[in-house]
Amino acid sequence: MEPSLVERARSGDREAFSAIAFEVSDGLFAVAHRVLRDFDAAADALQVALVRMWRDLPSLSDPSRFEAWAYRVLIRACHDAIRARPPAGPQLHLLDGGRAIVADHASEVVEREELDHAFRRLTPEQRAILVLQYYRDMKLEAIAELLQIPIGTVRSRLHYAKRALRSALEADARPVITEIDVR
Amino acid sequence: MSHVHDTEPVLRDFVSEGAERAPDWVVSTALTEIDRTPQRPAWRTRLLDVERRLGPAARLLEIAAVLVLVVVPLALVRLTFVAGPSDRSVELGDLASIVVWQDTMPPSWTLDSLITSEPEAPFGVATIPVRTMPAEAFEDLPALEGLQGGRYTDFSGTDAVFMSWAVLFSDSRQAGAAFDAYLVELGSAAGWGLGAGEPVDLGDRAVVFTGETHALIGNTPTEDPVPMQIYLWRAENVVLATAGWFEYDPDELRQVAEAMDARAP
Repeated sequence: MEPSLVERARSGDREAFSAIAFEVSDGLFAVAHRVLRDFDAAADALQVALVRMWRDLPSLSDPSRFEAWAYRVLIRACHDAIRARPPAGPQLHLLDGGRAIVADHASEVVEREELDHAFRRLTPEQRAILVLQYYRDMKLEAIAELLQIPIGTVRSRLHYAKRALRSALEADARPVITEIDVR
Repeated sequence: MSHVHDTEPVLRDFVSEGAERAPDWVVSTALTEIDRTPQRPAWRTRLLDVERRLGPAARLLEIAAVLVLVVVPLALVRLTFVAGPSDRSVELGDLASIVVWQDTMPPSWTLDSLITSEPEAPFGVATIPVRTMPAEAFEDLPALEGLQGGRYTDFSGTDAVFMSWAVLFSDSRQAGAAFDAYLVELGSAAGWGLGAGEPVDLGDRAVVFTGETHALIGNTPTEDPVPMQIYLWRAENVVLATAGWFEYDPDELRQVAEAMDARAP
């Protein structure tokens, strides 16, 4: 991100901010979608984040750090979205292209359901760290810097989050799969 | 089973799947909203940020103010006019100052999470240490009678994780019955697998367990056993614990347990 563009937006230039918004929105939306695992909620979170970025941009003292700051604003918006919604119950997901569920895919579907269920039980902070590490390929130090939390906290949140997801996978490996009707 | 060994790529794929492009209407709608939104002066955003970060501390200050203005004068009145025997009973509100928090944790710790439970749904914290049976079965034990609620915090250290935990009962007899049930959880092979433990001088009755366990912080088991130490004790009507996993410092953990005990009546 061009620091001079950020500097202009910070001084109240709406055109400059518009250019920034179009440039960063795909990357931000991709992260929001993975944290929230809901397209509409991710769209709402991005919208909220963009408005907050504009509103609070004068407080960004170093324009070269805009991107990390933007992700922080987005993750806070995701956090608010998760906290505002009631705990998710079991959800039904259609496979891409509406392909039929056949016996060979049954364990894959159940595995995804278990993972999805476990992921939705994670805290917003745990979700964000998982997404930043797995999807953005960020190192723990970079995640700690981006989220402005100690690296020990990143490590432990990641540890517990992965543990919860692995437990879901291991639960999926148990015979409960056979109870699913896949006709 | 290969299923378990292959979890990393499965998790990576699962977490990475999703949309890559933002719908155009989202940015357009946000920009329309921005046209109506003034920017905040930097000082105001920073002030709000400080307030947000100080949220728990601000609440603690409020509680401290209430204590100074209301509770202390009432206590003085009680001391002046009521010459009865001392009452060491812990109340639910006391747990916030007994269980380790940001203002009482060692400097190298970072607070990760807080779980509380209260009389209308008292079991959330009480079942955290349970490994021998489903939480619902533990909730039905007679040992859990009189449970009022609890408080749990966990922390990251440099190379260790820690937790602090307390559950409150209506009276010390009920807390004693629960203490025995938790001893079984920690000691038995079906639970934490830590053996008999050793008596230690905390509260009215205390045991420290040291060993390796699959029972990690929270209620998800580890694949590999990890070294840990846990202090479990009862002080009047409350059962308390504090534990460290991985490369914890036993001296530090002992000091944390003693400080918790000192904060309990």
